[in-house]
Amino acid sequence: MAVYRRTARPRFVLLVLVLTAVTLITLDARASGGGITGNIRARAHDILAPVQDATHSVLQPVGDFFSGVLHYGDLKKENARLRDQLAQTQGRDLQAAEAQRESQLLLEQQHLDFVGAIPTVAARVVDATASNFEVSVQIDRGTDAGVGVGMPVVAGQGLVGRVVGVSASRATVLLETDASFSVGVRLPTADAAVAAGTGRGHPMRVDLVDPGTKLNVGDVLFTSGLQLERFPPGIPVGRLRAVRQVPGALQQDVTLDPAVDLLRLEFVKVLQWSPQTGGGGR
Amino acid sequence: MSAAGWARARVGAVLLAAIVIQTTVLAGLRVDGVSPDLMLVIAIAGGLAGGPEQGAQIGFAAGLLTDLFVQATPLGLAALTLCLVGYAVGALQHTVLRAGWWLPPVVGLVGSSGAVLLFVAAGITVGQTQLTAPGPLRLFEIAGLVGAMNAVLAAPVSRMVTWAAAGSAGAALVRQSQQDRAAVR
Repeated sequence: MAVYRRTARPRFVLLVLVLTAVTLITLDARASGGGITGNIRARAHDILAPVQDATHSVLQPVGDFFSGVLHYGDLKKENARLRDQLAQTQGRDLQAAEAQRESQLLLEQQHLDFVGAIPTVAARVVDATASNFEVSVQIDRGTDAGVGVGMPVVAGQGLVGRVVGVSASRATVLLETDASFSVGVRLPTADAAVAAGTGRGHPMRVDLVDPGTKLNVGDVLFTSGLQLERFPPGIPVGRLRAVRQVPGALQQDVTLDPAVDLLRLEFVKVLQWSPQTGGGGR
Repeated sequence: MSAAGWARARVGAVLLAAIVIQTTVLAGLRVDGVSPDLMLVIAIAGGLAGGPEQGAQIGFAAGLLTDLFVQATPLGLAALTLCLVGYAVGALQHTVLRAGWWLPPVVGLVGSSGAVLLFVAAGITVGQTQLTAPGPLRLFEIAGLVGAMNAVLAAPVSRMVTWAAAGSAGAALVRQSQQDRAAVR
């Protein structure tokens, strides 16, 4: 009878692989997104992009089908809600047109138009991240279109996130709800605070709000654009969802709903702006 | 090309197909915000099909591919986690497990949940504190959901990886150890 014998070889192989992985982690941490590891990632994205596009056109209906089955109840409810909303919106259309004209005038006066003269690159969202610990999307524009790491990304209603990785034809946008994302915001009282993501589908958290500050649910917070901030000033970040005074705490317990529906992103705009080049929008 | 060479080519092709499916279809297939992790299932299936050494190698490759398509965690973190998972599953397969139809789903469930927690633990060790931001309850929820969804994927994926790895040294070892255990019984 043959007896299976354990040898030291598998353990040696494991050791080599673990050491390789640790080396890669160290290299990547030191390069912080750029460097050799950044290039490797970019190359991989470029190589796979055409295959992903082809797969999309073939398999997307299948994915849509399953996702439709999984969210059938939600879809039905949403349909009803949307019909209701459409009816209301149609009624409000005329009023809205007037309000829009007014607000446009106000914005122009106060220079609050959040894109202004900053050059932008329009892009389509092609994929969500495959990770369960990162809230990001892939867009179909990269260095070829002038997209660079660190650029802010917005959609019609406000801030979406910022570019954290870029290849020739793709870029990865870290959404504002990612747990590693934070942005300086201006409160309606003109005080500065910091909004930070807490994960997919969860409201953002607003830190550094003084216990005495008066805030109302529904207030819109804008990027502060203070010196060395990663975002230009005046981009809507989100709407206050809840404000709670905690007795004895050094700050208020404030949560924020993103201004943009990040779960259904389709088109975004990358602002070709960096803290160094400064506020082209002003 | 030798049988082992063909096996290597087939496993490579399976890995590439898997990362395309993971980044295009499965990424959008979310239950409560959590998507299944096909690369993790492949690491586990690699351990089942090829034993500890091949499990570690396949896991490392699957993890590295995963790492290339995420940005927030450092390159190598998933590779580290998945090579450990592939090794562990392979070692268990050699020593204690009796093969049966239930094996891939059960190992898929337990292995995947464990791997998610291992990934977070490894991430914290290298300073990725944002991984714990969702809170411990949500972490276990994510681990459980990934485990449940991966258990469903495990049976077909395991069959595919076993087919791909057939002819390799690891697959031969696994088969021999199974025969030995059958003989002992």
